[in-house]
Amino acid sequence: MNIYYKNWRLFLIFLFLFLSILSILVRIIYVQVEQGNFLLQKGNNQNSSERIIEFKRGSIFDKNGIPLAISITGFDLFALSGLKQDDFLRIQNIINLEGLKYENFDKKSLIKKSLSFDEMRKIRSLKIDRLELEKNYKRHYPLGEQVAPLVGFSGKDGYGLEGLEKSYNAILTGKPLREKVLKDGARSAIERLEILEFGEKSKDIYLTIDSNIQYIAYKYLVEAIKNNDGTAGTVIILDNSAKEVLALASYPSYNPNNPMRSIKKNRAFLESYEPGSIVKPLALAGAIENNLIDIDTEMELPIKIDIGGNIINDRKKYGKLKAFEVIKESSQVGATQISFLLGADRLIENYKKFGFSKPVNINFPSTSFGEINTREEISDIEIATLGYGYGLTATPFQISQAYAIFANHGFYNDFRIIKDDEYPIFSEQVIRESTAKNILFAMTEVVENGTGILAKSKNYDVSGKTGTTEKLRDGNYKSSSYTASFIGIGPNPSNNLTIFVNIDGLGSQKYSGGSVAAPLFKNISNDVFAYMGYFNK
Amino acid sequence: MKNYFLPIIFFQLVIITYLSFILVDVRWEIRSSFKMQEALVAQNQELENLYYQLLTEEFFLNSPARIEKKAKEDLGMIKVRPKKVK
Repeated sequence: MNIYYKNWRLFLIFLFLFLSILSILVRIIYVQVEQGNFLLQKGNNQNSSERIIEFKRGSIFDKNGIPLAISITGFDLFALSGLKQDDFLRIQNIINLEGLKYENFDKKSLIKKSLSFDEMRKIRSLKIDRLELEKNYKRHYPLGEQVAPLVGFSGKDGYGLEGLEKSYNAILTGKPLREKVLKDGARSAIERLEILEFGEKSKDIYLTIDSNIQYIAYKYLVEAIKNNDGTAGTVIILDNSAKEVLALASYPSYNPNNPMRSIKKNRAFLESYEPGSIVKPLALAGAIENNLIDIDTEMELPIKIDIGGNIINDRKKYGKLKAFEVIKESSQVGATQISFLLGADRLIENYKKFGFSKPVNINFPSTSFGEINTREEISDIEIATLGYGYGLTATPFQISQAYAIFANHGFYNDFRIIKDDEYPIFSEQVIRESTAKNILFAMTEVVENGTGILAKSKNYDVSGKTGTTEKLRDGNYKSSSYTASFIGIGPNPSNNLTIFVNIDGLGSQKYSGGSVAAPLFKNISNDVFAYMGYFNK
Repeated sequence: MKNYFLPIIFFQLVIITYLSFILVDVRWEIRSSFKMQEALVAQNQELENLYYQLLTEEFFLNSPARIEKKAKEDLGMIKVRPKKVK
């Protein structure tokens, strides 16, 4: 200490240095502690911005992992105001701008859509500051019109607008992440400052549909509609043991990849129609369940029945037919007698047990329930017609589910369309196993010797039922427009598949379920059974 | 106590300086990792694009529609029902 006092100049210098350092330290502490947050905020505000990260829409796959709907990442290139001509020419040298010429861009203008990653990198390497690249996702549907009414499509904004794209939109879209990021001089994000809203990554979904089976169904359906001058049709293939939908083809369809598409409804869920004779086995099952009749009970059938001036008749006079033969021959008179045996209440209750006029448990944007004539003052003719499929409507999917009961030993089951769906599958025994077996026997007779003989295959044994409906237009049955249906269960004895086919809008030349729908069923079932590896008989 | 005052201050200053460097280094690490993450996300999307393209191509090449067309038109094959298995 004595040295400092002796040399007061040195002391002054040290004092000055000490005070300088002290003042710097005081300033540092003041800036850091008192103004730290304020200055940090100010700096961050200048270099930070909020951004929303949209997750790529989830994909839809078939049960084998074949893509049915996928999103491809691309980039849209925008010119900002002030883009120079030289820079424009540099861009033109790298990517094809399809004849676009330079102009004085006075606002943000789209130069090129959907650039690939490679093109995006090349553009970025040019380091032109009056350009902007925006990421986008383009939805692509590789199977096109084959599955369009089922899968549907999503809009430009990535929101599902139709079909499963709409039903499962929340899962496929996820939830965008909102965050605050710090940006460098080149406006690239360099650090995440804060997560403002947590996101949720989109998920893929796997359908129970097998695209090979779907192809077979769609191909034969289109072919049959064209060959028979029909206007529309549906094919549904259900896996009875797995309780899954294997194929669901609906025509007319549309190309979901075309932005100018004209949407066509999914007829399997939405086209409820009077099913005609295809419901006769259901009515017979009801009569057997109520112990009113046995499968081989002999019935005396007149050539016609007159109900208040309405004549119900058959193609020929059968005389006596056993109950299963009523199904085999698809006798209207026989079906009328079964209806009267049951009576209106039990008949209607029976159809409801088979799932008619009830919603199907499938997550699809809209489904039709169909309806049954349940008026209190139901007339005799209405009871009679209910027995052969008029006075009630059902969708192809409801009919398929109803028939699957016979293959599933009397159990009504929901069918899934999404693999590993979290919804529990509803299952309930609605008829006795013996009744289901008896109806299958009657349906086998239909194919072996009855109205569905054209569905008979050399290779496989199947059970089935035909249906022909005159279409109701403006309150009248129009005899020039028909719907032909066929539903089959096979291959016997495993009965693993239920296959429904129908063709709508048929003219008066060839229109019956036996002549139009049964051959279509045969073509589809032969190929599907072979594809699934079922042995020939 | 007086004798220890300056060295303690000095030692604290050294520690603060060292920690400041560490802070800068960690900040730089965070930013590098963030940038790398951004690049990897972009790369992942690019690879996903490629994967989907290949998947679609594979589906197209294996599709029954294409095989059927090739068999019928190019090879002149006809459909024969499988023989009965006794």
